[in-house]
Amino acid sequence: MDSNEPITWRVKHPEKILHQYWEGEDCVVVYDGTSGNTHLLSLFAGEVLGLLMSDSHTVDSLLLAFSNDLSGADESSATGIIENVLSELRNIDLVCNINR
Amino acid sequence: MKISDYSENELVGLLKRGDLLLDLKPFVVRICSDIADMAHDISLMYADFYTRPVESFSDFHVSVMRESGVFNWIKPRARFFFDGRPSFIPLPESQAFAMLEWGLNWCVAAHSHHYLIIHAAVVERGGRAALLPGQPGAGKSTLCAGLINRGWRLLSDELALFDMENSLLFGMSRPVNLKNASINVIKQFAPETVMTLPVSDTTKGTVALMRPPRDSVQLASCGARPAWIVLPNYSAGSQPIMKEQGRAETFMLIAEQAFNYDIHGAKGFMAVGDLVGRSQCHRLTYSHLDDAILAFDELHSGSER
Amino acid sequence: MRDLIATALMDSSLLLGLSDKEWDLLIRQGRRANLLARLAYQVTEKGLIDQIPHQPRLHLVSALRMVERQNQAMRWEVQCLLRGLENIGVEIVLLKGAAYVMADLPTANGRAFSDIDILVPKHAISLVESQLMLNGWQGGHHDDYDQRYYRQWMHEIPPMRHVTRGTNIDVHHTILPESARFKVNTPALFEGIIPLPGYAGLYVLSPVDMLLHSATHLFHEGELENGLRDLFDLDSLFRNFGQTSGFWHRLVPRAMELGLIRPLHYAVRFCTMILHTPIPEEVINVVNAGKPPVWASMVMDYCYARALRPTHESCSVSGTSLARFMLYVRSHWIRMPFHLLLFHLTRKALRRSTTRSWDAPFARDAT
Repeated sequence: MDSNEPITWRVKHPEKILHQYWEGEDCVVVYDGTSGNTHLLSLFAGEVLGLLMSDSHTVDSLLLAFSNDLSGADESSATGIIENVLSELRNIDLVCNINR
Repeated sequence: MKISDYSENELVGLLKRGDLLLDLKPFVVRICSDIADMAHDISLMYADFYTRPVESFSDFHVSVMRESGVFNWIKPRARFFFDGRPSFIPLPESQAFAMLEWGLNWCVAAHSHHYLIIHAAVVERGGRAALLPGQPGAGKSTLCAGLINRGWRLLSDELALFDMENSLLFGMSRPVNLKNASINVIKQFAPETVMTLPVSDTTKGTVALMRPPRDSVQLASCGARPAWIVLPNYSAGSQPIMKEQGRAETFMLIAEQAFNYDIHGAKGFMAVGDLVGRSQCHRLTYSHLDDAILAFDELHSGSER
Repeated sequence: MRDLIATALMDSSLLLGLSDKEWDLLIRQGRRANLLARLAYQVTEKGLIDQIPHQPRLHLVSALRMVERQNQAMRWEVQCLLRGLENIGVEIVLLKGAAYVMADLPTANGRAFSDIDILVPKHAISLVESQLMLNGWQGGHHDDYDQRYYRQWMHEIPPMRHVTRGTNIDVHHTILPESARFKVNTPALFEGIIPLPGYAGLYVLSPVDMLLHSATHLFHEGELENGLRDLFDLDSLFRNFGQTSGFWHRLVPRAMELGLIRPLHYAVRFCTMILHTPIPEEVINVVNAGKPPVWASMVMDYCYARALRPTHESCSVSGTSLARFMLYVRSHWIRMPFHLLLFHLTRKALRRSTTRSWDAPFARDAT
């Protein structure tokens, strides 16, 4: 693997993921049909997941997509936020990286 | 025939032969027992329930039988059987009726996956149901017992059966489990209620069972539309506070309290969402039963406006 | 005399004429035999589910739902296993339920499997064990005796349990214990393994070997609470693989090569006797080469005719307890040298009476 290649993230089986959200709340519930697990995610994590369900992304492309939401933070904080969310989503097997 | 139409002797005979088929809508249970007091407790607690003919189909065959063995004449024990297989550790014979109740709950919860089954109390008023999920120490059974003595219909104090096709809640209107201090609280709150003698030293402390109101039993086959989910939170000395709770958070709490949520997979996910979506979700902190009842009445009248 | 559950599974159309009382008995037997879900699957497949009376139908639906969830969980577990064991250069062979589910065999329909069984080359056992531990599986709290029992005398390391998922995995290096009286030709077994499509690094046994393994497992097993269920598995394997070309032709020679002609004999005998499994006449004749002596044959018939029935009082005739006990002892006799057998049986009996635990009343995990 080329070490300069940025890590690309995606959802492996988007067709198996269900979610429910109620207007005005700050959390979303997600069901993963592959593992059978249910998760409570922050709204932001849910939106990152939603993006990764339709397309694969790198940290940079996510930073761009969420530039409005992250406008208050400097670049390293914003990168940290994105990376934390990706790490959280990977730990619960919702996303994987496709560079391997 | 109604249980109250049988003499206690007749019940003893039926139980010994294992021919007592109790109609616990929506289930039918065949009960067998050789324990002396069982007939008495059943005639007291299930007076308003009906039996089914002995040739009928039963959903569950349960037995509570005296244990044989060296030490059992000193400390008689009883064991619960389901479909002929022994389940659970044997308990003192004095706890036989409580064991029947717990055993029945287990049978339903573990084998009725056509419902989504939630560990919660369900009460109904004006066609609308309140679901009280059962976190330990929350006081749901006490609250449930209080509510059904102040105008609410009992569906269940332990097992909420959610019909996922029709979005309706059902229960069996069975006897209510009371523990420790709540036994006296309810005795004072509603002196006319009928209870079994308290049995001490169970795994849950001192336990007594309260006969369900006749009206509730008669309406047991009627489902109710979910309208409220109220998480009770007993907190000594506190003022009553009914606070709104986010639906996503409530979703996770319900899923956690649903015995077979995992089994239903995607369907369970959508069903809990449906249940939560149809309900106003609250957390109720209280210390006095009267306050809690009032808070519920306000919820009810609030929704009528 | 065949039990109602067996009859119903052999011919679902019989269900249409059952009385309430017969349905009552059928649900009881099906539950005890762990065959309700299989019945439910068959009835659904044949389009008969809506004709089943309402109350019993709910129990069939309930059982099937449970099983479907367990199979979904099995698939996920295999994925996690693959992730844990990839790149160690060891062939991982899925056995029994895991194989049926992952290979999409009809044997998996209506059938619950919880634990995963895998077969790995003996030299790789330590490597596999340590790799599993790195990925969250832990050996149970086994004392020295248990450790020795499994490693030295049996054909597996003690079962491992995953710390977060709570799932179990059994890692075998052959299909019968090394200390057993009948030796299995394990190298030949490994020569026949087939890669599982879509899962690099995972294998299953060839159809003939899979059937032989199922037969070996059933007819060396001591605790036959699920005997009838396992017999139906065998029946399903015979019916499914029997349609592939060359299967019947290879079956007996392969059994001889692997040293498994005796269990194959029992499989053919009891499947045809109890379940009327369609097996070609030539095969039945040839497999009699694996017959035990006449006296043993009579004892085995007596035992299995009783033990391969649901453990429900309606299926119990005189001699059932004795039959089950004899088969229990026999299975250990097959597994270990005699001088160890007595010690093991006494110890196991003592252990069971002190450590048996029942579900606590109203335990959340009672499902």
